[in-house]
Amino acid sequence: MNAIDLHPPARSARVARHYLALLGRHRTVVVVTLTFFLGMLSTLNSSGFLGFEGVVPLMALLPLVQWTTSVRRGEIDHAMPLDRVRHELLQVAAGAAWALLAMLLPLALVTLLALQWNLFRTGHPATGIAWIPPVLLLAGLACYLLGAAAWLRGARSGLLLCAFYGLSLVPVALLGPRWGHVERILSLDAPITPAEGVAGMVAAALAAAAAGAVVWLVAAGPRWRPRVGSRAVPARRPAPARPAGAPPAADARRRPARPHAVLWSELRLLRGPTLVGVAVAVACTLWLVPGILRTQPPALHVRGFLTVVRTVAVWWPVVVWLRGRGPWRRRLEPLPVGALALRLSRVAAGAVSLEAVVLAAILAHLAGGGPRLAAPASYPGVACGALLLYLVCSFPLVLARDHVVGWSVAWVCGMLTFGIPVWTLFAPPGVLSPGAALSVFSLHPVAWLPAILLWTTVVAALLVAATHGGVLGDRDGPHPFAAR
Amino acid sequence: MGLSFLPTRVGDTPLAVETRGVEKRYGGGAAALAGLDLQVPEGAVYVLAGPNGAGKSTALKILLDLVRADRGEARVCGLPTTRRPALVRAQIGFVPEVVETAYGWLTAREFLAHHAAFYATWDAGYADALCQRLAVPLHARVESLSKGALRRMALVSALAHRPAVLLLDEPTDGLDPLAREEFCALLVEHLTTAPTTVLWSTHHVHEADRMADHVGVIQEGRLVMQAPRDTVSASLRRYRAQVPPAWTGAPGLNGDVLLREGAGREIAWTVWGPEREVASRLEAAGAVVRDALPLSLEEATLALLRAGREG
Repeated sequence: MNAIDLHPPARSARVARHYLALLGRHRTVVVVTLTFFLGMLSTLNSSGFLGFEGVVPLMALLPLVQWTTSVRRGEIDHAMPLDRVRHELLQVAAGAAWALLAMLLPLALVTLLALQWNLFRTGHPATGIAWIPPVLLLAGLACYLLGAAAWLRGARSGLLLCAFYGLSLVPVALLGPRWGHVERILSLDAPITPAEGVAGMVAAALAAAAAGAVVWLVAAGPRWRPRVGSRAVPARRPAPARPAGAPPAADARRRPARPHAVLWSELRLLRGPTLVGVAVAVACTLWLVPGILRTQPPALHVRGFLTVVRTVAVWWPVVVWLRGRGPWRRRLEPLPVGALALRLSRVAAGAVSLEAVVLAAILAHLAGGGPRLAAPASYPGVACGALLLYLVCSFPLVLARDHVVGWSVAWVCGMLTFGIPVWTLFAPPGVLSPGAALSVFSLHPVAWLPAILLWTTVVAALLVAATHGGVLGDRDGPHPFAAR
Repeated sequence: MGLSFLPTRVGDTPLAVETRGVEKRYGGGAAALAGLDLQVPEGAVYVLAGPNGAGKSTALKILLDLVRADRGEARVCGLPTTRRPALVRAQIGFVPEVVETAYGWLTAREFLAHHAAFYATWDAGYADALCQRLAVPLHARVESLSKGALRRMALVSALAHRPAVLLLDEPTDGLDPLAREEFCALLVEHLTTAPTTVLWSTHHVHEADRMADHVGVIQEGRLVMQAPRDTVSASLRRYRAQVPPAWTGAPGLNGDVLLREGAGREIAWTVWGPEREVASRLEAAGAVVRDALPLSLEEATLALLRAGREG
């Protein structure tokens, strides 16, 4: 040691407090937290906690919103006087505190209302009322921690989404034939003995602890994770040699890129996510759902397949536009093509790639040998319905080039938990109603074709207008949603 | 031609930054660092010069433990960088080559507050004064700042905790001349008030000319030369001389010549060595020495780099 007085490193408690406050000031985080809150509140009805089973796994996406709302972490973020592992664990802990808060309030409210409802209905509280809320809280925490682990491991949003797709089916895989029993427990219809309640809590606590251990392992495993700047820069491909004797084309007449060339370029950019999407959809459809739910009624097989397609469709815009945020995109632009055409080409390429994924899922479903849709004509309806959902969920993403991940996730989560259910619930019923269009994702679809055609056209037209607005807004300056 | 006659050790003086035989290779490619022995004395303003891709940024990242060396050891303020990286980073103020952050949604003021949470020695008053002096737009979001404003903000975050060691990675890259001047003036002012060791990595050496008291020239991951500025000024000169026809050179001197320029009977040699001794050897060989010009820091660096490349 030499004579220089050493400055102390950062104190963990101060940094943790700082991150808690920082996330509290992050408008996107607050909005997404509120979205979760509203999504859970929207499950308020006589079916107890049943609605939470769809919302709690979404906690795995919260880290994506909290920590990857801007460009990747730079050297200036890493050069902090705090041990890297501890730094990352503190970030996860601060984010988890917000995740718990997001779940705690609606859970408390639903618990209170369920308590009152059962007292009113039966004269005594439901037996599960003491056990279910902490189990759900711990399960949500486990989901958040697994999502955080994926974020730490890859810092890649696409990887996180894939991890989420896979992880969301783990409970189904583990519970298998008992899933229906879980649904009955959550709806407070089935009684729970104290032993079952304790077992459930222990299981959820173990799941949360295991997820915490995964986070620690991921943060502490430096060899698993390339350090900043240690990724080798791939060598540039040499430019194709000009044929000998060919004159330079400096004076050649220039023209914009042809639309089909732009579309093809966008499709090529999406080939990676498409392949991953196909793999995930086929795996979920072919292996998990029919395999695990073999002993369940045939309706559950079909419902599982439809859920896979619907989930892929609503998240696909995020996958498409995240792909457009990388440095490879910035290297490509500006291209000799209009901004509107480029953005619409991306939407179209996303639609084409999504249909490829849906087609793969349908083929896997048909090849799986399980029960099929009641009407074979519904399969094209599923593909069309996926396109409609994709277009509906694309709105926040077409509004600007550097779209904000948090808003996109908030929009999709909001549509999933709030918008689409409300849309189908309150729109006037009829042949042309939105409910008829989205009935392709139900076990007993009504006449869907006119409604799908109408709403796909309407949404596509609105999307073109929104894209135009996004281009205009982009030229005026930063994205209006980019303000925190 | 070997350049082994050039000094690569600073001497017996307390060192604030030191690397010993540091090697780094990215993904099996070419070596970014090939045995770097950096010695930055306490209180020095050390300019690390070299071309693009020479390994300057990698060296700084290793000092911050953002990148781990494959071999060798690095120390900052006597602390091994890999053993207690948090404590090491607490001693360092860092201005990266590219100011890229995940917290672009914060305002500049909030971004600085974010940094303040990590540094126990953060001086809020000094940070405010620096912001005022550098005209950092405190209420603008970081993602909306220009390149120059980002640099100024990064400089404030690096200086405001009064670090013992300041690592500057191409700090003036992309700044306009006025901003560069302001940057240098501010740095000088900071150095007069706070004892700081500066390791300034750059390929715009002329900007550091006024402040540098030590120079290191790096090429292909290895130091070509490392010495106090005074030593370089005293030892490296350009000799213009008239030589007789069919002159074959100066025996005993050829090994110390970095560059041979000129044509016919007029030569301009850049030679490392004591001026009197070099001049006398040239004259002993029949040359008439017109003058022996000292080189500016940039000229010296260029000469060393060209000699390293040609050697």
